[in-house]
Amino acid sequence: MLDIEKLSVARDGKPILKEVSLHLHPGELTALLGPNGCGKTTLLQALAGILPASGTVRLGGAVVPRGRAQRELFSYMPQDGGAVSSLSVIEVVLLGRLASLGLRVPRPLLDEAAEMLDTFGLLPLAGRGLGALSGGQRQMVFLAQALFAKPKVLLLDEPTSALDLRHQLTVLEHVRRLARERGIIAVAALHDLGHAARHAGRVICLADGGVLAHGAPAQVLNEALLRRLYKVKAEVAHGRDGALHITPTEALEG
Amino acid sequence: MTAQISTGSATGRATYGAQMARRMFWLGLMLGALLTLALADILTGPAFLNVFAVIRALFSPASADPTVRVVVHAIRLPMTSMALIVGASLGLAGAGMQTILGNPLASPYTLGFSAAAGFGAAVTILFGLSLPLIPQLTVPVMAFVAAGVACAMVYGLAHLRGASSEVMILAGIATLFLFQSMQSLIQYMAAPEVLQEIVFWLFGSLLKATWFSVAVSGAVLALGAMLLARDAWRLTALRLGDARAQSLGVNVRALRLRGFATVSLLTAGAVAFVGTIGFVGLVAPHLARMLVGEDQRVLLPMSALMGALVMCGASIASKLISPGAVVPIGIVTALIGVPFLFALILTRRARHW
Repeated sequence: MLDIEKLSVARDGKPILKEVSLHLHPGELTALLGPNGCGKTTLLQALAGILPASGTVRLGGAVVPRGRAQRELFSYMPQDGGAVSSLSVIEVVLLGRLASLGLRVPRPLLDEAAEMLDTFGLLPLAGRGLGALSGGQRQMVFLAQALFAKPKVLLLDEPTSALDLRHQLTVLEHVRRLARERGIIAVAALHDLGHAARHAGRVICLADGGVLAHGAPAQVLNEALLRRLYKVKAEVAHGRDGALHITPTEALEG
Repeated sequence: MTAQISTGSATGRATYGAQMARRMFWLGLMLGALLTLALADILTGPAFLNVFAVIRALFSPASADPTVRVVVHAIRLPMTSMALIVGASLGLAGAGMQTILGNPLASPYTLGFSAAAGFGAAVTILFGLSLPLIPQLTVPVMAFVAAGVACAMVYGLAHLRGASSEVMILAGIATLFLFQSMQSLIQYMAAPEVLQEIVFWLFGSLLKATWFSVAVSGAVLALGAMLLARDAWRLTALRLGDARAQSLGVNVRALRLRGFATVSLLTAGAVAFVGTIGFVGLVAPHLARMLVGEDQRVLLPMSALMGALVMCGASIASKLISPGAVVPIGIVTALIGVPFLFALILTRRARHW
């Protein structure tokens, strides 16, 4: 269980997050929703220790100190930045445990990296350069890299934005399965409400530097909330199988 | 499940092992080529020496021909050693610079260090400056100091405005143009004989190599190599971009500033004694990257090797072009380097450098 107490982050003197308090559960995917600029990336980066923040973060009851311990527990996957190099797939995964790499790569580490690639079905691509892969495959490699660090908390910043439909579903299904199997706390900032509704166990809606709403998708995502959060008109329907169907129809005046 | 895991790891090990073996092969091959070229460089000169006489002079000096021994040890070996050290320094600095700035066009000169060194040398020559106790070292010391000033300028700006590669490149370009224009001013002010001396320094020449300058440049190379080696994996992570490197736990800002200081040290050490030798720092890392990839544990030594190779080749060429005379090596490095670069451009299949 991840307890975030009064997390505040400011950038260039302007407050982005104001005393945000949250509880996140392991074994499921939590979706972070909100319009551009509401602080999703800021929240993820503050948890990962990339941005300075005030407040307390507790993992399993124990306070997480800033620095190395934080880096070992939290694994952050940034948005697909587009910086591609000719490093091979297995080298990229190995970088997930940067601190363990020295003059030589320890044999057990190499084996673990190969196993990680195998779980994702990427082993045949192990020797290929990153630039030779498709966007979807690259994203899977970076996901493997993030998980290779054996984090307790996985922070994903828009992991599906640049991907085609099939890869979007593959990535989300992988994240859900791994969160369930390894008891990881997985948080993903998402733009696609359909994905959030289908794959997330809980959603957190950020607006104006704070949490607007949180809870199970079916309870939280309704037309009134979406109007307030995204300033869009949307139709929310509950399907036969209990699934939530969200159809945005109109952008409202800002 | 266990069988599946062991096949997976065996495949992984095999793939990675093959990759590393390939790289080690190239490293070994280029090292052999370098030693051959270095020997050839010792043989070449206004007087062509006999291979066996040279080998005897190198490995059992007592039994060697005294003339050959003197020529080899007092003249040829310092020059060849200097070529190797300067080439390695520039190759290493170039690789570091390209990784830190995330730019394939970066070279040790991108941020203006060599322009500053040239300015330092030009001022010394124009005003006939002379340091007490070490008058013969005045020009190298002033060149080094001037390069240090340029380094401080860029470092200071980067420190204040955030050490992103964009800020560094902008600061470097400003520094480059500042020192280049000041250099031109000095040349404008100089009398013809003084101008000739300045220009000759700027060409870059190995003729001034002494065992003392070899020792100093060698020490600088060793120090710079050690400093970069410690950051090898972090530099590899930086190749994935600032955001990803940060997410992997790399302090990108500190790494960039640290690497930058090391690169400027290596560049200043190379340029101070020998003058401006262009192209090597730009082309050696690309050649190395083509052969061994981006793993900085291998790329850094390979860049040094390729730099030394290009310098050695240029040194041999500089002695052969005009028989009896030695063309300044700075002129030749571009002539040697350009065909390499063309070959690189024409054969590159990968979209990403």
